[in-house]
Amino acid sequence: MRRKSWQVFLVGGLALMLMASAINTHEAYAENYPEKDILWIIPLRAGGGYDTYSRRIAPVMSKYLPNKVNVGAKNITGAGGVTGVSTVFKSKPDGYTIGLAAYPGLAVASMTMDIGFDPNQLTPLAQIAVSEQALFVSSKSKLKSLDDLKKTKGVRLGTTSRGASMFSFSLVASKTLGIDSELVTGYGGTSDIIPAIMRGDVDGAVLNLTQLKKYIESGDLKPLFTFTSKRHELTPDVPCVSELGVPEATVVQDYKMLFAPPGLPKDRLDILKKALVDSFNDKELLEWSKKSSMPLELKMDAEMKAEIDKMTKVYGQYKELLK
Amino acid sequence: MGLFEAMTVALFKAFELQNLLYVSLGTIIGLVFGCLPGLSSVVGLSLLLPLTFGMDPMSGMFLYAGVMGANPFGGSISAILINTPGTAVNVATCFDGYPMTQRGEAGRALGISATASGLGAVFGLVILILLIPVVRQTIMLFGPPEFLMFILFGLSSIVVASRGNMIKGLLGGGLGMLVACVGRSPITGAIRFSRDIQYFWDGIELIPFVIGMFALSEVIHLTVTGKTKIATRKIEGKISGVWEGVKDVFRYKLCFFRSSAIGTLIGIIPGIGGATANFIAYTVAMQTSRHPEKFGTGTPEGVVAAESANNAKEGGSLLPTVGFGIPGSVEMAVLLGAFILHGLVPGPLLIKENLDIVWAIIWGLVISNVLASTFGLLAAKILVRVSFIEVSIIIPVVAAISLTGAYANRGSIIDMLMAVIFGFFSYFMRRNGFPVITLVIGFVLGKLAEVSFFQSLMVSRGDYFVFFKRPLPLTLFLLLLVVLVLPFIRQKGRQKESS
Amino acid sequence: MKKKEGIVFSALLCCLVGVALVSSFSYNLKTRMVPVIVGSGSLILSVMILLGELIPRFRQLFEVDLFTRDKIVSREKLPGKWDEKKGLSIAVFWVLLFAVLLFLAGFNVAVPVCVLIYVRAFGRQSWPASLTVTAMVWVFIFGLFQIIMDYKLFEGILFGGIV
Repeated sequence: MRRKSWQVFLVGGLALMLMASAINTHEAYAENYPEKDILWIIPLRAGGGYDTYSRRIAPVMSKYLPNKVNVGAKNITGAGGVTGVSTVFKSKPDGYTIGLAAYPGLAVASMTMDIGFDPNQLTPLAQIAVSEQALFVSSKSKLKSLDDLKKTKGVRLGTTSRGASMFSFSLVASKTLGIDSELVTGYGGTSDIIPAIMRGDVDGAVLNLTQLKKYIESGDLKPLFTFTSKRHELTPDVPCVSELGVPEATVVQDYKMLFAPPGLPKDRLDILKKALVDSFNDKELLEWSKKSSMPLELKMDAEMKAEIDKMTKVYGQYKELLK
Repeated sequence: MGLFEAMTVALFKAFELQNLLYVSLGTIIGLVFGCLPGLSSVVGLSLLLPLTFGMDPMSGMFLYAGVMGANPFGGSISAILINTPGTAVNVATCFDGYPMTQRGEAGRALGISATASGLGAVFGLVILILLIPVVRQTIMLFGPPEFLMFILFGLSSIVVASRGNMIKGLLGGGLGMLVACVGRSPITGAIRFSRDIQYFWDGIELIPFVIGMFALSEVIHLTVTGKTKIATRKIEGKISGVWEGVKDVFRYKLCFFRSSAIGTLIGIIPGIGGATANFIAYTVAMQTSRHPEKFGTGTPEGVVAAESANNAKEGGSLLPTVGFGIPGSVEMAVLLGAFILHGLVPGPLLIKENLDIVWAIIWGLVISNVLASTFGLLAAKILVRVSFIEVSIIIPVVAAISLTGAYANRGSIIDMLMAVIFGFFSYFMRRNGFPVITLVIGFVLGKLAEVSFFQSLMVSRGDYFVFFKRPLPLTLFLLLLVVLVLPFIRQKGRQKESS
Repeated sequence: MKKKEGIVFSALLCCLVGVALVSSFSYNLKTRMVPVIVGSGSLILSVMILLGELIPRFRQLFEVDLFTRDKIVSREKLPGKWDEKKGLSIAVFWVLLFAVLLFLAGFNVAVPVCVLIYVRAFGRQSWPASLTVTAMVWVFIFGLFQIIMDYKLFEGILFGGIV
């Protein structure tokens, strides 16, 4: 009997101790920022571009932060990427939570629906990458230029459903370029659309250029033009929308932007920014970016703000159609 | 590098001590994460990614393959023992695996699962290797009309699975499809039933749904009935059961091959998840079995079908992934992410430029499946004891782990609440004589059916006959009719016999 | 008692399907097509079930099976003394308590508290056994997520958790 009560004390005490230690983990408010791990929220599913960028950059960032704290990436998905950003918005502005957002997807969502917060109030940290888009067709397609597209009635463009970035891209691209398109919705993403283009189920699609590098090399797909202001280095023979006379269409690009909760103190913001700048000069990271054709493009402060404003303006014009 | 040269290079690599350790480590992680509901190999892989940056890509692939290969078998352990599908691909395993456990035949069920999983995986990988040269043509075979026919095949099983009370079974299927309608319409993007609640915009998540449907409803059921053990009786005798399970797989050879083939085929089609492969194989097995009435009551045949299909699927979904850079499943999407993190660019050229990596994955999967199955066969006797532990200890443990899993699947506490709601719903359905299986089938396949139906129309510019103009969908459609009519004919035959 | 419950449950299902069907009509054609077709079918079926619950003779018509004429109704036999009503109230109380506590106070509190309550109060295990099980479950979950996976579990809205 005596031995039993001793066991009770041991187990109970151990449990209480562990419990106390667990509850006490978030009491870190001091001068010496950062003192504990920083959470990097990925608003989209594991395996996609956002996930890959985050999981590659977060550990590099840990290297350049003071106090050797860890930056841990975690997927918080839902509502087409809105939930993750909303979690950042609601987090304490203590510099221990940051998160990626998909622009213009987020801007479109806040224009067309009630998402419960104003993305403009978030503390902008940095734009980490821009994924340039291009209009792809099958290499066997009869459509060979923008003019061909304009002449064709009801060009079938494969895309995801309304609410995702790709839908907005396809719609704004058609409107700005004057293509009479029929959007074939319901695809899960790029990987579902590639075989659909090759089969001829759809005539083309607005897709990420660098991601599809290998499909251009293998001769399965062909970009007709890129949504960039200059010709892209990957495809020097392919015209860009600016030279085709439609510079507005350059907003059809996917901006991966990093934000912190509203009201983040400036000293902490600066520490995070510095770590990011250093990370983007990290040799290994740059090498990786080149090797795996995942371009990096760091923009901060005014430059970043200008991109956001431009997108908000152009997509704002098509607000009614995007609803 | 030629196909076979790369094969031998990767094979030698696989048997280097360090790589063997990686595969084994991956296998352990895969088994543990498979067992735990809500933690799939997707979570496991994401967790491992940052640790593998410094590694040689090939060693990384052995580690990933280890996780992916062992995961479905890990999931079947909890499906069989505690009615909790450890991963989405084990849902159909619950239907017969758990009733076997209740009968005291957990060892046999685990034996079936271990054997069918291992052999099914090898089957899928062999098909993969055979199809690599024609990967482009294979992927191009499947468009929305073909897709729709496969899905209808699965949906047709709602009729077959409506047991005891046809109307209740059918209503279950309808309810499942209605639940799947919540959130954005995949076609128009309009939000159905829930415009004001942001949580529902992306629809109901599969993992909390199945955790509620199976694990929590069983927790409630066991508490209500006041049973003291999961297994009602212990089967004593010279057979330990496990060996009997191994023999079952060979006893139902035809079912095994058919299910593996279906699993591989569905795996090849990008965009259809593993849960679908599992269901379609299970229902086809049911429809073609000599004893369809035994499905759902703990027939070994059902476990053979479900478990061989979900492992064979892995090989199938690897085909578009490595052959064409298009992920055949969610796990494969994460694997492609891992390629990029290692500086490899996935796409149609991977098979030419990095053939050794492709073989490393194949060998890794083979080794991990062999390890997992061996573990399963050896450990089955110990695992079986779970079904003889007192229920009052099992219940809180299962509940705690399931609720944690429902949350951790995507870091949403509302998912946990949804799992609880579905748990109660499912319990009351069962209590009132509704089969849960039709509800789950309706939920899993409903949305896919909607997407492929409308896409077929859009792609063909509104031609309603698109389904009958191509040979493959037409064949599938005719097969579907046969499968639907067959049971009635059989029943007639049986009636004649008896009279 | 059993019959009454069946009536209430099928009436609830009717309402649920009815509400879904009615709200579907406000959407555009492509959005509403599937919910309207499935919803109408389901409504008819659920009304039939409700009628079946009310009129036993009507119910017998549906008790068919595609494969056999034999009924496959296997009601488990309950241990003699056990009161099912009591079991149900325990189950409802405990699962709801678990969910609410998780939501309010997070995993670090809810998991040990609820596991302990079940094992000790409903399972009637001895104190040492109850505490050991509780500690094991909690150490497992905490160790796996927080320590091995570095995954921050929800800490409850009372302690700063974000929904």
